[in-house]
Amino acid sequence: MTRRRIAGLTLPALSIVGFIALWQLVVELRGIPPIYLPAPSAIAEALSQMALDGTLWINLAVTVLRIFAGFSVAAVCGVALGLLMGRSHIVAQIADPWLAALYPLPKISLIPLMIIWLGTGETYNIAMSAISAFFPIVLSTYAGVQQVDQGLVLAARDLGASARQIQTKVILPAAIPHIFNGLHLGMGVTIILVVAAEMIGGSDQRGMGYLLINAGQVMDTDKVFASLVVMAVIGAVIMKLQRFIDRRAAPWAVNAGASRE
Amino acid sequence: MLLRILSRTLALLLAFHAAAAFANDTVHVGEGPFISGGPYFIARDKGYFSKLGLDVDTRIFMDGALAVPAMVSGELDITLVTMSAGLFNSIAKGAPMLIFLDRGNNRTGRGGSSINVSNTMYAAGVTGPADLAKLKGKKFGITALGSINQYEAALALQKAGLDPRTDVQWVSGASQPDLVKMLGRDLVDAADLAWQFGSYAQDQKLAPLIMDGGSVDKDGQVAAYAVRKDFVTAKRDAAVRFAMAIMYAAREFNAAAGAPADHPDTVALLAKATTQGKVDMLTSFAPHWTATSEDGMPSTDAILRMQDYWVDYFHLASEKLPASQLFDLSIAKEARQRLDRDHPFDH
Amino acid sequence: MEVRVEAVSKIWSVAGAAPITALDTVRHRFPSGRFSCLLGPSGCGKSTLIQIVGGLEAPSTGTISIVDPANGRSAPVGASSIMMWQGLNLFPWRNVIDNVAFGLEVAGISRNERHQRARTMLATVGLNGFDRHLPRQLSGGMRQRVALARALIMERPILLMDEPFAALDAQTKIVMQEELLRIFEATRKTVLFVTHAIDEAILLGDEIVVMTARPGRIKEVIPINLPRPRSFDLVNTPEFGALFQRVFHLIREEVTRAMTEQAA
Repeated sequence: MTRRRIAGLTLPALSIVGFIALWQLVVELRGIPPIYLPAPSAIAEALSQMALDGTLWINLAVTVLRIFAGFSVAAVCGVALGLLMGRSHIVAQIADPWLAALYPLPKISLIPLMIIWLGTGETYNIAMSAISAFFPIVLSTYAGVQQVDQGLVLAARDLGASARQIQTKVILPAAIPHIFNGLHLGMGVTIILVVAAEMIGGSDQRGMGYLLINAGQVMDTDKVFASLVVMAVIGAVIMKLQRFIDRRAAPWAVNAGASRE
Repeated sequence: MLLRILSRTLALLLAFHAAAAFANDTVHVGEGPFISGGPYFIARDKGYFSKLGLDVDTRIFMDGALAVPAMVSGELDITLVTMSAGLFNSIAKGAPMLIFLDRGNNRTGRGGSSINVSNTMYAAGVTGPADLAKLKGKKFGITALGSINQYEAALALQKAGLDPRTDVQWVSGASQPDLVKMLGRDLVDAADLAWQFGSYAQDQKLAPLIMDGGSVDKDGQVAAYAVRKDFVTAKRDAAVRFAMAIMYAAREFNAAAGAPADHPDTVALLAKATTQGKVDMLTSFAPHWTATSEDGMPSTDAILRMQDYWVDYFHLASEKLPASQLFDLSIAKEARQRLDRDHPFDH
Repeated sequence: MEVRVEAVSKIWSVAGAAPITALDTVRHRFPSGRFSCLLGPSGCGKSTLIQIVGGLEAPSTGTISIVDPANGRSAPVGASSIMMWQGLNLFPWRNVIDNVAFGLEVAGISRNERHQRARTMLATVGLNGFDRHLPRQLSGGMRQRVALARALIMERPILLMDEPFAALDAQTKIVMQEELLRIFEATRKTVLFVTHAIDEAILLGDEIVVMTARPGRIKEVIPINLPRPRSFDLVNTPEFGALFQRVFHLIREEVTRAMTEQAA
């Protein structure tokens, strides 16, 4: 790591460590009962217990797998439909009222219905997250396609590109910044919905959401906090990873604005 | 003449003094729409609380577990608590409350919970307590982990020779009406429900009721009233009066449970508070309304046994608290004494 | 290749308003291997005309035909010409070499071969060693060269240029103009060059097609008989000055007319 990157990480790291230290001090000095606020030391102990007896790793793996599965489904379907809508006015007109009506619905409210249709297994869980992530992805993709500079399309035509080549070699790359934005929103939503679905319908008894709700049911607040910490860290790691992949896949899109002249 | 004026003035002053001394105390109470809370609704709607100078402000919780945080935050002074691992954990973690009054036990054979199985399981031969062994590897539905429902179900499974920790898959988090639906769709194979829902499931042919949940724990304690510690310190007398009204109403409640046809007014009142006014639905599963003892004493043995179970056997609770940190039975004792001595409701 | 514009009109229909006639019955033969400049005020339809010539816009009436003067055979409209755009329209996500090679890529030419040809073309336009750069990392003049290379690599007989140097600063513009003169000298394509800079038109062109304000018609065609090869020194010669005066007067009234019409 370069020196600059180390320096750039110092302040955030310090603020986190400082906050935790302050929290510990306040709980100890003021004698706050754990039911109001658990101490970081108790949370750390619950966390290490979960790590040692394996419950942390199994449930984390299940949740992460569900996140990627749900997201992949949403990404493929969302980008495909968005591109199709951009290409065909008819498809866009058919799809538009449905998207407009369904997007604002809080998908969490669909959970009871989904359980009735799909039970509480993997299908339900992945369906919940895929449905939620689908909307920001398809809408961002469509917006991205619509704002493609028509000059680029004309230039490609002039250079002899077929309609299909224009789709893959011009429209898709030009829409990438918007598509990436949609994928980011979609990923955030996926994570939330996977955990929520695990919490509400977790009959197959695995996943971080399941851990959360179980610990909550018996008021094991240390374990609840420990699970939340894990989810926060995982969420941050996934989002950073996504940024990294974005930069590799489309370096021109991530730092738009670094131009000469 | 002067004597008359003086005596009238004195009487007025005494009356004001009496009024000031007995100005009503407000008590914020957490309850639920369950028949086990019957004595409370009788005491409220028949004026027993107000007769004793109490204004009760009722907050209804669909799930007893949700009432505990409201008490911790100070919103409630007295609340229903169901016996659960969550309750023991809360108190162990410093929730400032004590159990002080009975609110539902199995001692008179009027346990208010049932075990139902899906039609599929019934057809496969699970028709009574002895057949529960056939539920090995199956899904058992409960409202929450560590709940009284899970306790009863676990004991019943143990009696049938299974290890409830590993031999069934516990499905928790669904509400009771949802559990009924899930039984009907084979999403769970069995469930421990409030009798109200168990008999509904049977009547609707969704899931046959195969046993009385309370029968596995004949001394069992289902629920209780808890009081916030600082409320006891500041207004102990109000807590005593609360207990008095409950204990007096418990007598009527138990009588109505035994012979609902003879107590139509009481039954109508109870139906309004618990089954949306449907009297037939309420009487259809009498007397399994859970009983509240008239001496107000919860079974501390049963409660401590449950704590041991959750801590040692199931590992859902972390700490074993002594009786002194769980109970304050002096309030109920005093309430019984005052009821017997003063007969405040017989005037 | 000779470009024959036969009675071409272009009428745009506007929702809720009167239709706009961009071009009104334009007739001209652009001679093969000559550099023709289209000069006129803004909105006179010059860009529309060359897009129609390039097959990227359909005329409302009239036709375009491309004829090989050697044997009289016609050539297809879109495939015979290549456009260099006013905004350049470089693909911002592609690096220099992939931009230049785009036309070859969509034609199915292998990577090695098209990259090799692209490098050669870049050397021709004087841009070496920037293969992997992205357009946004280049200066304006360098981007011009990339756009030019991308067009020239297609080796089409007709080059259409829509005010390509309009956005450049004065010095870069001179350099690019001289560059274009050199390339024209070497390749002798048929060039149609749209501009509204009189000096540029005279410097580069063999003829100036002066167009009227909207609706666009051909006002006059002025032959430029200055000798080739040319360089920027031409600008200071008396012949240049005389031509400038002549064209200026011709165009002035059109410019005024265009301005008043826009103000109306």
